[in-house]
Amino acid sequence: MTSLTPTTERPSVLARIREFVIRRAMVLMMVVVILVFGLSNDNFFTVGNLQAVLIAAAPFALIAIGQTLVILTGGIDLSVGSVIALSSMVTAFVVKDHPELVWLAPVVGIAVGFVTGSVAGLLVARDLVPPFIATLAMLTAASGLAYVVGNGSPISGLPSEYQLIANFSVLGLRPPVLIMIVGLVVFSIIMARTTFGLRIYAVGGNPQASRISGVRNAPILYSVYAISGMLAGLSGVLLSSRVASGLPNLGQGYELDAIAAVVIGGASLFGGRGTMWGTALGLLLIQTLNNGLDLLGVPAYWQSIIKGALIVIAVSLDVWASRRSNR
Amino acid sequence: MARKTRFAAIAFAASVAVALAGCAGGGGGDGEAADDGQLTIGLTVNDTTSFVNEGKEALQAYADANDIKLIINDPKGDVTVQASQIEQFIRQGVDGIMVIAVQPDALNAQVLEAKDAGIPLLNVNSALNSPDVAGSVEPDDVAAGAAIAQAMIDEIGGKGNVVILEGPFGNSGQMLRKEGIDSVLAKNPDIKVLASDTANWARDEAANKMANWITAFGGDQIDGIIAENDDMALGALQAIKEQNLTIPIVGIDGLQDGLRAIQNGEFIGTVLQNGSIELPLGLALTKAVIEGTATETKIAFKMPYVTADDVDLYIDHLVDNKPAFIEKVPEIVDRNLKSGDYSSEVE
Repeated sequence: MTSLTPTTERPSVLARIREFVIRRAMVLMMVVVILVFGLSNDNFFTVGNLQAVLIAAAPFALIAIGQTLVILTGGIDLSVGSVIALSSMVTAFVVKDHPELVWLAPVVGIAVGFVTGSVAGLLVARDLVPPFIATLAMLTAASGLAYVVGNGSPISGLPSEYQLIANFSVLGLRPPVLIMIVGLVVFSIIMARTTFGLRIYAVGGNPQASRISGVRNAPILYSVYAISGMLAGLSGVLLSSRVASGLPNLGQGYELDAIAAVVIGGASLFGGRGTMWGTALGLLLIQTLNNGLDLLGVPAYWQSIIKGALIVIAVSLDVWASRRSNR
Repeated sequence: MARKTRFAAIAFAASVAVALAGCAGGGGGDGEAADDGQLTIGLTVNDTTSFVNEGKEALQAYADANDIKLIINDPKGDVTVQASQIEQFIRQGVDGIMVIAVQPDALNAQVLEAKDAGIPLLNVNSALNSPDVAGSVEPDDVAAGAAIAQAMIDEIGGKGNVVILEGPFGNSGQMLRKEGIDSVLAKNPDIKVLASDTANWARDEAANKMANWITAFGGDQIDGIIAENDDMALGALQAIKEQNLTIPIVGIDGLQDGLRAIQNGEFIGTVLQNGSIELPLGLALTKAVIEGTATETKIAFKMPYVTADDVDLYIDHLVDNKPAFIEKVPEIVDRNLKSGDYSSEVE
């Protein structure tokens, strides 16, 4: 066998281990983090704690899925935090005096996200403004609108049925967690197995080539922002149900955590490269850190610093690894 | 330089807008508005906090009842914008200025400028560390923190483990409330603080933090939850409900949901900061200072601790019959200003 490839040396065991460590850096980091937390706190490996991590992760997971699609096209969606706020306010407004409409709440939230996402999507798809600007504008406008809906105040005193949306339990799992799992699975399949998924990669990887090969870029661009908006809208309903109110400052800054998850998961901000699985991993890493550092009693502001360092480490490892493989 | 020009442009645009709207009088210390006996008072306040929103209707009711023209500007959390707004009020020649300061130490120059222009500037519902303010209504946050800590300690019998949910570190509300909590804890060595961290006043963050603490210490080990505001207390309530636990909780603010939680027996109490009383009181004091009738200019607004015993009265005022209560606010506030029992809500 070796005689067929006399020019290439078989890499040493050490080199292969090094290669593996670099390629799977995130997975290994996750394992290390989990082990450290598990060893330092007896309650870390409990069902209750796993549930707590997953419940906290769910609203971020939905927007991180949308963010992955957008980032794969080479764009960015800064508006999702505000869309969460707007969705929570509009939904709370609708159900406040109409307990009989509670079943409609997720639909309302998704519709709100669809509208905001469509506006941003159209602006980007028609090449009127760059994604950063279109969604920055939507971030500001949607946040303003969220305050308008409640006349500046939160909407509370919601019917008790509303709280059920995020809080009933199916086989020990709450709806946000179920939706997160279903969402990640469905979108992984879409990205890996469908034409739509392939086109998203194509548009982000090389828009010119994609156009020449007959893909119409505009509808793809539009739809990723619309999807991101709808997922943020749904996330807003789930969050707002969990805290039993519409809050105009809900979700503030969530977009940054979602972007962080995508980036830690190995996606390129220039588009074309990244996976749903990577995002899920990045997200769980952030959430596990939040949880574990709380268990260790690390103050919130140190947690932010640690997250910042993690982003830099993840991205530099990734850049390093891809440079090596390109050599 | 560029910044100055931009500010000038904004200021110019704003003054044109004001002039066109025919609002306040122009240049001098006494605007045209003063001619018909109407006072013009500028207020710069973050419009988006629920406390302010709760109190805005009552504030307007007081202004209407006393023929005061109120100009409200929103600095959107930016103290430099707030500084510009104060300068703008001075240039506009308002009769008085009310400031709900974004930051306690950054407005000294503007406070002095107002003083030099002979315009009383009062600080309401926030710390403003300047010797030149003409008056202030400051909620006694230290007392509020002490009240909830004491209530919790009484509830659990002077002994046990508590966790504390704090506001954003460095925020004046967080620092003062914590000071009050700590002063009471210092006298109670049998109370152990298991954890104390910020959840940034937010419900969702508090719910996650509390869930993590329950994991860390075990639900049966936490005897009480002290939250520096109601939103975080409500988040903690959600977390303990998710784990089927019952742990006594206290908060501060008296949000509608918080008061309801007291009614349902889910909170042991909250310190009520009623914007519908406090903000009009600030306006009443500003008016009194302008007219030279104020007897006490530095008011420490002592907020009542609400329990299941008296929560119904407050729910009536804040929720069920708010419009009726707001109609009576001008009268109540004027009476309180005279009596010195500033936070009384008795009709």
